[in-house]
This record gives sequence, C-alpha cells and structure tokens, in this order.
Amino acid sequence: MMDRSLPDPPKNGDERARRQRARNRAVLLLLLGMVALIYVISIVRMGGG
Amino acid sequence: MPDVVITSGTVGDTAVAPAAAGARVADFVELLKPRVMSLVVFSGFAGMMVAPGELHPVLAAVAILCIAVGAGAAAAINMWYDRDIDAVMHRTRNRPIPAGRVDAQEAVSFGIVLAIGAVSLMALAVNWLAAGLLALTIAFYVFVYTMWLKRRTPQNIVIGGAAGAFPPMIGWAAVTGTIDLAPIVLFLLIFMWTPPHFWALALYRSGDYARAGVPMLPVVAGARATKKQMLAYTVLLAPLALAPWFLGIAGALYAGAAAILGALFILAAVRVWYDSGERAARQMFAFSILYLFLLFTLLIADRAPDLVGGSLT
Repeated sequence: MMDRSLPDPPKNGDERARRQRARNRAVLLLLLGMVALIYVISIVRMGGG
Repeated sequence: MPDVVITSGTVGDTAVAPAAAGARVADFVELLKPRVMSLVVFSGFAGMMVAPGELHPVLAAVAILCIAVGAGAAAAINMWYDRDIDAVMHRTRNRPIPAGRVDAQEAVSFGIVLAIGAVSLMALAVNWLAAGLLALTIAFYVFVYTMWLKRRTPQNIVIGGAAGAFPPMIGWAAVTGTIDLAPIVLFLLIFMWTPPHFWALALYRSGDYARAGVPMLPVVAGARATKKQMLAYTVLLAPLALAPWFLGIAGALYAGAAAILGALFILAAVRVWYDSGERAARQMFAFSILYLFLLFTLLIADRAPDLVGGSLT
C-alpha cells in the first residue's frame, strides 16, 4: 500500500528542467544551423553566386 | 490619450509572473507571429519572383529567411511593448507575455537579437540595399507604428501599414540591388490594402480596442465613418492593382484576375456598408487575406513560365 506521508515528487522542478533542456536543444540547433548556413553562403559567394 | 506607463514585468497594475516552469520553445515561436509572417514572406517572395535578374537559389532562400526572421523579430518587440494592452484584449490576452509564459525582458532581447541577426545576414549574404530596407521595415514597425502611432492616432494602421508593404520591395532589391517603379507599385498595393483589411477586423473587435485605449478608427470615428473609408480604399485599390500589368511585370491572366478580385473586394466593402452586424466585416477580413494572397500568387504565376507553362506577359 502507498505511503501517503511521503511528499509529492517535485513535478514543477522536473517540468522546468525538461523545458530548459528543450530550449537548450533549440539554441544548439539554431547555432549549428547558422554555422552551416554561413558555410554554404561562403561557398556560394566565393563561387560567384 | 494618456500614454501608458510600462514597467518591467508588469501589465498595468497587475504583475505578470513568468511561468514557474519557464517558457516552452513553442512560446518563443508564438512571439514571432507565424501567421502574419507567412503573408510577409509570401509577398517578399513575390517581389523576388517578379524582379528582373537572377539570384542564386541559396541566396534567395537566405533572403526569404531574413525577411521571415526580421518580421518575427519586429513582432516579438511589438508584443513586448504592447504587453499592457494585449493583456486587456480578448484577441491577444493569451499571447506568451500577458499570459505569463515568457518574461518580457527575454522577449525583447529575443526580438533584438533576431533583428540584428536577420539584417546582418541579409547584408553579408545578399546585398546592402536589401539589408537596409529590412532594417528600415523593422524600425518602422517598432518605432513608428508600435511606439508612436498605434496609441495616438486613428490613422495608425494607415501610416503604419507601410511596414507590412516593404517586403516585396526587399525581395526586389535582393535580386536587382536597386529600386524602381515596379517595387514601389507593389509597395503601394499592400499599403492601400492594409486599411480596409485591418479596419474590417477593428469593426468587430472595436470593444477590445476601446477597452485597451487604442484609438482605432471605429472607436474614434464610429462604424459608419470607418465603413465609408474602407469602401474608398477598396475603390482606389482596384485600379492600382492593375498597375503591374500596365508596367509589364504581369500579364493578362493577372490583369483579368485583379479586376475580378478588385470588384469582389469593393462588393465586400459595400456589404459591410449595408450590414449593421459583424458578419460582413468578418467575411471581408477573411476575403482581404485571400485577395492579397491570390494577387501575389498570380504575379508569381505570370513570371514563372517554367511552373505554369508559359508567361502571359
């Protein structure tokens, strides 16, 4: 039987950490995308595009 | 009208605490007003398509990306500045800042970083004229429309509408590196389209605007005067929409469709004039979006012979 005296798990903290990780991943993807974009632009511009 | 005093993290007298769990990525996407962005991107793309000359497909895609991000950045800064009035309007109270999902300072920082990034990338990848026009567009929307006109004059969206009219000019400048009469006509087309489009919305949201203290035309001058002006703009817009055909940047297909669409837009305004309720205004608002979308689709179709099997110009 469940011990009802135990405190609830820190759901808010978990959610906060989950959202923080999602934001970090989005920033990482954006930065990698920018690096790739600048690389491709450089190739095109140097090629006279 | 008294200016609204804004302090960090507050809406009027009510503090808006950011959500304890922090913002989701989707909340930051919402700050960019993706639906508005789509029409801006589309008109910018049309400007690129009708412009004479060539642009490498990668650079064209970068130019479109910069226009999209620039528009999103301006929207994020607009949401930061307008968070007090957004909180009291039904249409906007669930936006990320008034709903407490994104911190106001984070939102404005996000907008500024994106604006600088979009303009810089446009300058480096495309050309300085397109970058300058993009910077002007963002500055006009933020400083002239949002901060200066919106809360002060019922002509707010008439003059402020220029910000939404720049994208075809940016697209044209991205390809040609110059500005001439044709992109100015495309600019005027959106400029003249904006008032009837926005006032149709304002007619059935006038209560919202009145509550927020925004002097939209229906709030200040009443529904009758607004409807009269909407009709006047649609009548002026109809012949103006034929100008791309006269200038030779669009063909007979475009001209015929523009004439029919113009007549339908006038008809929508006439229906609004005779309708004492909201129905005709709602329909006109929906049609106005379709009108501009179809007009620019036809412009693109006329200038994309590979896609449609032959230019009609």
